[in-house]
Amino acid sequence: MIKVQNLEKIYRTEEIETVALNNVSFEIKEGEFVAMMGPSGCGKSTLLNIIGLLDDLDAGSYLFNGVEVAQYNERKRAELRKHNIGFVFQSFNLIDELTVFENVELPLMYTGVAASERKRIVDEVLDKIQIAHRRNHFPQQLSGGQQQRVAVARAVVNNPKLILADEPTGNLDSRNGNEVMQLLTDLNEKGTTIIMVTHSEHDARFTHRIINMLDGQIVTQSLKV
Amino acid sequence: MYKNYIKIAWRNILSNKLFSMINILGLAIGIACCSIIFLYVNFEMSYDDYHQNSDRIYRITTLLKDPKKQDHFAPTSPTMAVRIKTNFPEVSKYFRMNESKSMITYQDKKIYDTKIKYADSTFFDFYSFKIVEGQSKNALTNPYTIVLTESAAKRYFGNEKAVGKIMQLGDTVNITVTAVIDDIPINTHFTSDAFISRSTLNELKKNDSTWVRDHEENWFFCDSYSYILLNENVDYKKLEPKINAMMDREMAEIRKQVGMSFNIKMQPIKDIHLTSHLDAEIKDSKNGDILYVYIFIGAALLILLIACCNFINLSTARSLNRSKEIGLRKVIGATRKQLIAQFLGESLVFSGIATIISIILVVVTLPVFNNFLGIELELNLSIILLYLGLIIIIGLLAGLYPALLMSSFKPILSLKGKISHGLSDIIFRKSLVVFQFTIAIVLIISTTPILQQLSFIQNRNIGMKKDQIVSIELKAADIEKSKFILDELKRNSNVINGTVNSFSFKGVSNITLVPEGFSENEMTSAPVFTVDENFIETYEIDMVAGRNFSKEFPSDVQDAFIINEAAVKEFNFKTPKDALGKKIAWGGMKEGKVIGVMKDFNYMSLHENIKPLIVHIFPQWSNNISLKLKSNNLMNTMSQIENSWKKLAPHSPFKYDFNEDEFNSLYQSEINMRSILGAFTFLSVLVACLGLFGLASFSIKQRFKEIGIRKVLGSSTAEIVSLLSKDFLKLVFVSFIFAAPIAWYGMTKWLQDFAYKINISSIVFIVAGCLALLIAFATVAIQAYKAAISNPVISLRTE
Repeated sequence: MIKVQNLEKIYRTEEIETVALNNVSFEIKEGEFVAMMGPSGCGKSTLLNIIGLLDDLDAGSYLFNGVEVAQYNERKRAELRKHNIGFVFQSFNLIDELTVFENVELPLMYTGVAASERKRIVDEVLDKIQIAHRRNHFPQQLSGGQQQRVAVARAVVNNPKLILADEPTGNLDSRNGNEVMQLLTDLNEKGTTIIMVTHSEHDARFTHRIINMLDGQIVTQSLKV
Repeated sequence: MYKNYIKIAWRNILSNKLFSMINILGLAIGIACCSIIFLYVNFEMSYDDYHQNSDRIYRITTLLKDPKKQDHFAPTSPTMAVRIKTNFPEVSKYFRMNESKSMITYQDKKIYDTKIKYADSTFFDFYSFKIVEGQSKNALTNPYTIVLTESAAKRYFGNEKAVGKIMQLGDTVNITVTAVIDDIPINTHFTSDAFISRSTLNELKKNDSTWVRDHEENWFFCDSYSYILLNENVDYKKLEPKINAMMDREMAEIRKQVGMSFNIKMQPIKDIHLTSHLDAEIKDSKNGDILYVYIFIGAALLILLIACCNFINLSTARSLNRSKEIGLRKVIGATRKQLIAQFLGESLVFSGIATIISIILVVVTLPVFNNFLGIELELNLSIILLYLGLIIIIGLLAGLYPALLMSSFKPILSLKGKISHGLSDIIFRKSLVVFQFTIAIVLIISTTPILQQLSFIQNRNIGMKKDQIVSIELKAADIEKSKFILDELKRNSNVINGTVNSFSFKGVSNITLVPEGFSENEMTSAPVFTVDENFIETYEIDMVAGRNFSKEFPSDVQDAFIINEAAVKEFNFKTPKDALGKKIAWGGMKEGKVIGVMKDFNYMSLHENIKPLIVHIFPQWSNNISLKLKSNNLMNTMSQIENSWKKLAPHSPFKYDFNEDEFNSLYQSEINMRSILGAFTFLSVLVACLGLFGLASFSIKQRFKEIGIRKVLGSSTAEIVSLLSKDFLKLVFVSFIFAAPIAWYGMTKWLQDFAYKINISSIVFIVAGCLALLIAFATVAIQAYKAAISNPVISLRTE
């Protein structure tokens, strides 16, 4: 599904040039659940952002479903993102001014789904992640675990082929963290490809494969048994 | 999707109350100003727009040219319109209207202040006044017929039918009511309660010895307001020179004889109200001034612009707080277009709410505005279009920059909260603040010279004493007894002096004359009014040569003139003394000698230089009794005079004007402008300060941690307040640098309209600048002080 070759990303300021990713190549197959690990600043989040088409790459190739997307413009990226990729963040990133229902509904709006259809889909997803009773609450009224579940619901509502999760349990206690990991696992079992950046060995155990990074390079890729 | 935008906009408004309040209030004030000015301008522009043929009706005005000067006045000689109609097939009809000072009565109903005009029978071809009773056809054709307005008919006849009733003109002449029309709409360039057929005038004057013999054919007797109706598709600009060429031909002989000639200028009827400020305009007509219309439009738009700047500034400043939301929307697939649409939608919601509040503001303030300007504006459906237009324009104007800016944020940086304002963005915002305060300071500076000029005018020694003098108008039937009436009134111990005259600050008539030394074919014209022996004494006018009129010289009535210093110069007399004894011939009416020279005094508005003036005794034309009163117990004196007046002058209403008020009324436009501009200045400063308040509060919040650190390191409260205020005060100072020359230029231009004016002092600028700085400092310092006295531990913990 994803094939990255010789990827490079360099951050430049007036005086300093920092190589964030250096000659990174890997492949992820459809249906995989992959963890990216490594110390802070090793480039894993940068890589995730590039995979999610939120950031540019400076060199290399990025094939998404066999199509070269490295040179896509903003409009094409947005188009690809909204139909194919769901995002889950460490800090949930829910919109405070929208209710649970509205937050989850948002991606469907951008893909132009009709209102009645949106309602049906959102209700179904909220049911599935067992947060339907909170559908009219605002994010501030929910616990961290609940917020992240809503974020997951929002990520999957469009039925994306790929979910990118950036430390999804980083702000949660272990019970809530486990709940979220279970949710991701369930999604993966139903066929969604997931790439997750994490510091947590515990979370990584839920995945099929771990990509270890250091200083902008992939150092090991271990396949779990 | 749009529902979502509106929803989030609404929730944003609720969650950021200060920001929302500043934006909405500012925009509401701006929109309210625009709406009121829109209604006002609409009204001012609507004058005479409602006549069916208004696009084809033109007023003919007179340009009187002698070799030295040119005078432009509103009335023409009665023959003018007739000759134009006869000579030019482009002209379909003509209409003339004359003022009347007479009174009409019905049985025992004497209503004094009925305004009457003589009107040609073509009246209804020109003016689309609705007939309430009777028929328009031939209503004003025959002599001794009258058309009343509905309210005049009600006053005379109550609910009875008016048509067919016989009324009295003066005491002796019977006139028949032929029709009743709707009241003349206020947006008409003249006002009247009744129209008597113009043929009546000719009948009446047949036996009047004071009347010009060949009145209807005389080129020089300009007392008729003349209108022509052009055929379809005739361009008046092409017709006007043709008419003037005809006049030049016809007057060639006269010009040779008297050295004077006429030309005409045509005024589209719809333009009269706002652009015509000629000599001898129709009595009671209150013409507006297009300049003030422009100034008001400008001021209202500027306030709206200041409010839009607030919106732009606060939205962009606050955009950092929304960067997470923007990033997230982008991540989940929002395109830039969709985000722009969202933010524009939000600003539309703001402008929509502001519009609703502005309607409330308009409803509350409109009566005050109406009362103040003496007009009757009301909210009508036409304003809905304006509101829709404003909502969209303001929404786009105020929302576009923030929308473009916010939608350009990179999603990753937004999500991480790493968006910062670029230099260009900061410069842009500072420029907006400078722009806002430039406008506010220009307005602050401008109001001061206006105040000073008006006070200068009102307190200036104009060479005559006008205070405590009251003038009461005599109707034609009482003029004969004027001397007796005056003598009786002077018996009141509170009356210091009194005079019978035709003087009014509101306008004097010009007469054509030949002074000694001028040849017969060098006729000139000069303002004249009629007086008596007491005039110069009552008004305490100084004489520089010769003597006043006196009863000891009975021939003064027939052959004496007194002129002013300006006339001495104009008539080429060497000195005032030299002028004494010089002959002056006034048309066929009077020939006499100069017996005295008055010191120049301002008998017209101070917009004008003092022109030559001739006064003489001509009791038939003296229709004013002016009384100088003791200043104590004025109310009581006036009521005593009223009682005597009713007995002495039964044909004249007790309608009086204090000369002081009349003089001040010459500057009504300026007085109105002072007040409206004053209000606009206040509002512009208020809205600009609202914005500054919001911006300061935002910027101080951003520097909360810095304030904490500085305090921990030992900075004093005053140092912090000065640190936080300094940046804003710099901007206000820069605004002052821009504002000063603009205001100076504007005020110099405005003052050019006055012959007598103040010098704009630099102190005005300094005071205005300091005032602006002070207001801005107060706005910022309150918040800076709050931040400065807060506990540093709290601000450091916010990290």
